[in-house]
Amino acid sequence: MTPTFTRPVPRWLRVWSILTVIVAAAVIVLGSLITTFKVGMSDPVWPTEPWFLIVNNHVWVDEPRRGYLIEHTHRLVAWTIGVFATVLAVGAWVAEPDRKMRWIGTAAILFFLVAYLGLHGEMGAAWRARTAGGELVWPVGSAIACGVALFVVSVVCAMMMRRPAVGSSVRLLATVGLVAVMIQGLLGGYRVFLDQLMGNQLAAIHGFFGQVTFATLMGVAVLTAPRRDGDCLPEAERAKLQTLGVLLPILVTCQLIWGVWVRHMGSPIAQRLHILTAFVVTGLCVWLCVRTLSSQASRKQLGFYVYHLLAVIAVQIVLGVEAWMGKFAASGPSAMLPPELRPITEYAATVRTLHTLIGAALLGSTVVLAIRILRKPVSLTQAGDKEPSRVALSETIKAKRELIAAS
Amino acid sequence: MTSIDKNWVRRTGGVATLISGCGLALLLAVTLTGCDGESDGPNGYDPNLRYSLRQDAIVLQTPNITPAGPAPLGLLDESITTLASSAGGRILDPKSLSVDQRDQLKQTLDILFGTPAAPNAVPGLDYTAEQLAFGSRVYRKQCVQCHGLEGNGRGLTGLTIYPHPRDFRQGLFKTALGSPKPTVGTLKRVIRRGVGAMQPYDLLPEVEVDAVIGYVIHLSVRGEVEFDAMKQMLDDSSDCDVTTACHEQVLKLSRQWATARDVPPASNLPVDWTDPAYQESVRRGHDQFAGSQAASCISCHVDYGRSERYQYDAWGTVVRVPDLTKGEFRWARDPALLNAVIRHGIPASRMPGNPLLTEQQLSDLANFVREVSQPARLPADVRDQVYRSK
Repeated sequence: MTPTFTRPVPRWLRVWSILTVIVAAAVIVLGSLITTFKVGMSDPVWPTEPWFLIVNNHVWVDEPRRGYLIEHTHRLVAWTIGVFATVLAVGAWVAEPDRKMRWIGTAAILFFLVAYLGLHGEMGAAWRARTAGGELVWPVGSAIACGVALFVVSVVCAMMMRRPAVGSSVRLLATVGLVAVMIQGLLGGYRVFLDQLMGNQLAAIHGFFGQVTFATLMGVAVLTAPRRDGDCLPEAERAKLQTLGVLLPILVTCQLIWGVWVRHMGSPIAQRLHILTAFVVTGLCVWLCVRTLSSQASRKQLGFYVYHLLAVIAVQIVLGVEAWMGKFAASGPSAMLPPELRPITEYAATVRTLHTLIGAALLGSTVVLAIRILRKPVSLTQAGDKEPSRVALSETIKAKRELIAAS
Repeated sequence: MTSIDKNWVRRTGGVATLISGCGLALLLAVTLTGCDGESDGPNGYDPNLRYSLRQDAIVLQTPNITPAGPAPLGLLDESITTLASSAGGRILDPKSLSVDQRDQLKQTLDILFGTPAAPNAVPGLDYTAEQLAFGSRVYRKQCVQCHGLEGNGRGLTGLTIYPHPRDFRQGLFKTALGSPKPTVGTLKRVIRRGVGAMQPYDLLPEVEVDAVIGYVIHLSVRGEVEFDAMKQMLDDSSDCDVTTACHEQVLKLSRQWATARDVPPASNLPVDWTDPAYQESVRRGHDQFAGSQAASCISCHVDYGRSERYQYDAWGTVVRVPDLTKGEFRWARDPALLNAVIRHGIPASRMPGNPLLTEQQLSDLANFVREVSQPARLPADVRDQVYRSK
């Protein structure tokens, strides 16, 4: 009998991918607080060890420097997401059915990690030399090694996708997620290391790329879900929705760029673009939702995702208005100051942080919806589970019982 | 699916693409063609923005007591306000100036110093208005978050870090050794190497560092003129001519800045710490440090700085006496500079100078202070005394 569902990756990896998204959300919240309170440079030293805060501050509540505490907690959680993304990618590759491919993929990921840690270590040496009054020596060798490792990982992924097996898309996106997390870590570090030259610009890029990374990890979490028979749109429905489905995340990405620009630079152009694009995104989102809900088949498949998206965008609009008022509308002595120098209230900080987090969630939701729209039917006969899980067994037993009862 | 359905799908998909394309094109056009409205120019301030008049308390005298610890972060002004209620503390409240007095002072300062976007050249200082305007833009990009718009050390980031960023408005600098003001070279060294929570700005182009130093001096002169004028208006019940007093003060401060004495150049000569003569010098330095005659540094640097001891500085903020066993030197690590700090003290931090020390004594003391954080490089008997209880 053909099984009724299959798991692209083991169950623990699905749980792990969800945990990774939760940790990524925590990193975004802390990063947003850093930007809001402008404490990105409260500790100008980078790189620091993962255990830096724990070793140097035995009791966190005793640390008097709030900015320092937020910054180092952000770094600590960022290290944690690095570990989570690593386990996610390695776990996905270990689940590869082809034995040869499994080893090649895992080795490529480990090579990349070693090169990355080498680069990180050499940046630490560069910082120490710099603070001792010496010349800044860039770790060119490690950077080249990282580039080579990235190339190798790309080639391995391309080899895998030439003959895709169950879970190939998870492996691909988990690898992309890992690389994105690592790049994001470097961006954050160089935002500190090169603050005097391009701190604000790098901070903006770091802020934007963090949201893209979050959306990627959300995509991984969705792809690790078990596949069932008939859990995708019919061909005609897919054709109807796919253009809008792909356009929406692209537009939300544009909107995020403008948002980050407003937040870090406060440019008048960015202010205009952010408002204008908000209208376009909302319109497109509503259009996609209406088209999805207007058909029985797509409503059945995507109803939950669409209602979720509408809720997220509604919350985001309200938060956007509040954040805008908090940043640009001022009276009294504050009105005389540029927005970036105005005192920040706890309410404004909360609203801005939530606006950032929900913005990331919005991008993630549109990516998830696009994945669900574009999803093709899965062949359950090529199931990766050699030993059916308990759910699969229970469903098979249930089907047999129904068959017996019917006869 | 019928052919009509397919056409409908194709048509609506095409419309979606068309509209979205139009939206993107519109956004692109807005980006490229301007709709700019950047009234303040790149990295500059709005031309309508004015420097604010001082609101926080003026510290005339700090209390004669040892504070328990630094003020809670974000409550610096509130804690300074309470200094008046402690023994010996004396402050003035700028808010008690009348509206007329404030208006007159603000107008005078605006005429003398211009605005953040267009600062006026200060007579007697070698900075043109263009250089100051450039320095103002660099300052906004690199410094304003901590040092604040007026150089008051109360920028948004400054509220959450410790030690507090420098408040330039009293014209006091800890790096001014042996003269009222530091030199441009000294300020450049601080900027290039960093100090306390301030990062080293070693990668900034020279032209930007020069410009921002000019602007910092400009802010300092403005703040000090404001400080002195307010002090005079609040302290002296008799009427005073604010405009004349401010002009005279500008000339006096310009002369001070122009005649600032430079600190010794950095010397990075290697030290042979195994040399018996050097070890003997460290031993003599320790005797002076811990003894009751000569320098007697240990009365403030209790337990070589390991004992957390705080004291008020000239701004009314609380500073911690550095722990020398951890190698906390702030900015004066190299021998020549350390000598100068020991000789002249840091008046703004209430560290006394040692003008009576001979050159030999000074050198011995500096050698000990430099080596105390490295037990292996101390003579055995000195190491026992410094680290015996640890």
